[in-house]
Amino acid sequence: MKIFTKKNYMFFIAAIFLLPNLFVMALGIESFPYTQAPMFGHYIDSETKLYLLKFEGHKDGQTIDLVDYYGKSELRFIRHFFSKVYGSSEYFTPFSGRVIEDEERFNERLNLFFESFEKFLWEEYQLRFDSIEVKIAQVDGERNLIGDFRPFGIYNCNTEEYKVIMD
Amino acid sequence: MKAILNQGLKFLSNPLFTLRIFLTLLISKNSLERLNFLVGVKNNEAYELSLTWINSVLPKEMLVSQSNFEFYHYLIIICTVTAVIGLFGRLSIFILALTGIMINGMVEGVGIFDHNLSLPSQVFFMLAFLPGTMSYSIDGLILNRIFKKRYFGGTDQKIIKMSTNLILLVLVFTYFTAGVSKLRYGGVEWLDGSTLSFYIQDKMLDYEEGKKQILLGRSIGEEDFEWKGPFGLYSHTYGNYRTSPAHRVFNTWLGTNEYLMSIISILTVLLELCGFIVFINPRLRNIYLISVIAMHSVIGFTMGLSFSYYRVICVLLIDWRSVFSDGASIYQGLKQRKVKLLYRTQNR
Repeated sequence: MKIFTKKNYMFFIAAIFLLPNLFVMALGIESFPYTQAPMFGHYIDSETKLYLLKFEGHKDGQTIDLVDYYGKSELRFIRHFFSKVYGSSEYFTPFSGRVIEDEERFNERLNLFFESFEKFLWEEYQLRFDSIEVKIAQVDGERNLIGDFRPFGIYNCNTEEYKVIMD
Repeated sequence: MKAILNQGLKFLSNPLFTLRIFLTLLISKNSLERLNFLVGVKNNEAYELSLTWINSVLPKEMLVSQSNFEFYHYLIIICTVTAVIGLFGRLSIFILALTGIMINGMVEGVGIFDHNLSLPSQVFFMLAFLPGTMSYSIDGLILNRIFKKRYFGGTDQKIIKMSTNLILLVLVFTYFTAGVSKLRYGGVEWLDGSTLSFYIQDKMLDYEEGKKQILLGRSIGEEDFEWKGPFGLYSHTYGNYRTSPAHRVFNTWLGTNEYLMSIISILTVLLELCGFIVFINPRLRNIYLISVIAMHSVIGFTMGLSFSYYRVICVLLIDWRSVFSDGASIYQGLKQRKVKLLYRTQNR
């Protein structure tokens, strides 16, 4: 029996290109160029809670809003933080290439992100902080604040540890 | 004139050839733009969390940096020329496809997964391996001369059909996945149209930095990770990039029309799930591809997300022989009707 036939070659190519797509669809993950195309997939109506995130640096009692120091657009910075670092509260998230998620991995990622961000702030802007705080505020569709920004998590630059604020 | 039309139809009837030319040019243009973006953006470190699966297995030295920027710039230009003329064509496409996937993977690492490029990148990569891609190429001419017969793949219609069907399968699968995702994450409720209504009316670019990117949250459920905090964040939103007053007026009219939004949502999911009809017959394939082009055109008009690469692929995958033969039969039918009408009028 001949193995190297045109038909077998086509089956091989089909498998090579379809299997990764099947894999990302089944597990609900994405990593370029493979995607389960989740655009606009999550349901939104007037009851959906919408949030904004912001990062603040603290040093010697002074606070700096870091929005001008992200080094890229807010869209890219927050999406990177949400997709690649923080991750969804749901087990399967379409916004990352991670198959497994647990608290230890979550903390590792957060520490890694802030280590990199802290390094960037120093090298690019010569900014150093005691801590970097993430804050969250609920907004409506027109971005009007519904209440003030509240603490979401804090990274201690001295101990190099991120802590989730649960209140 | 007829000879030119026939030659044009011959080219159009070989999507592997037309895809090779168009995707080479489009993906190379995109890669050059993204290359400039990557070296221009400040916070772009390719650290562990920003690496895609493919980029994480590549040696770090291969990833784009200030030191190899010029190398990639010239590599892309040279491979674009050789891929189009088909000199070391497969190798050129392979290099361009892999470079594009690496560059766009880095762009994803910086923050945004460009869905406009996901399918085209895969299709382009497939072209490096599919038989029939090198029709009308210098490689083909040389191999034909050496082996004194038609080069493997050549313009053999059977081979072209097999390869085209494989590309169609990946395309259909991508849309099917998109449909499944909407039902998986949005549930049947997604069909009520409120999600699309939100996106169509969103004015993201109007807001200052710090107020553009929204995250979605909800009460923490039993299966959710409660240790991530009390806000239950589960998704980021996508942007609407339209800013002109005319678009805004139209978007407000459309977005506030509940019935229309629901109909559009249902049709979108149906269209995405029913892609497998392309394999039934050429006419259904054409109807499906034209419907998909229309869907992307509406999204492009209302939200500024052009998905132009998808549309180019769909146009090139249309079975043009079937279009022309249907067109010819309609024309013949109309002509015969006209003759009959004339005959009846003269005999009255």
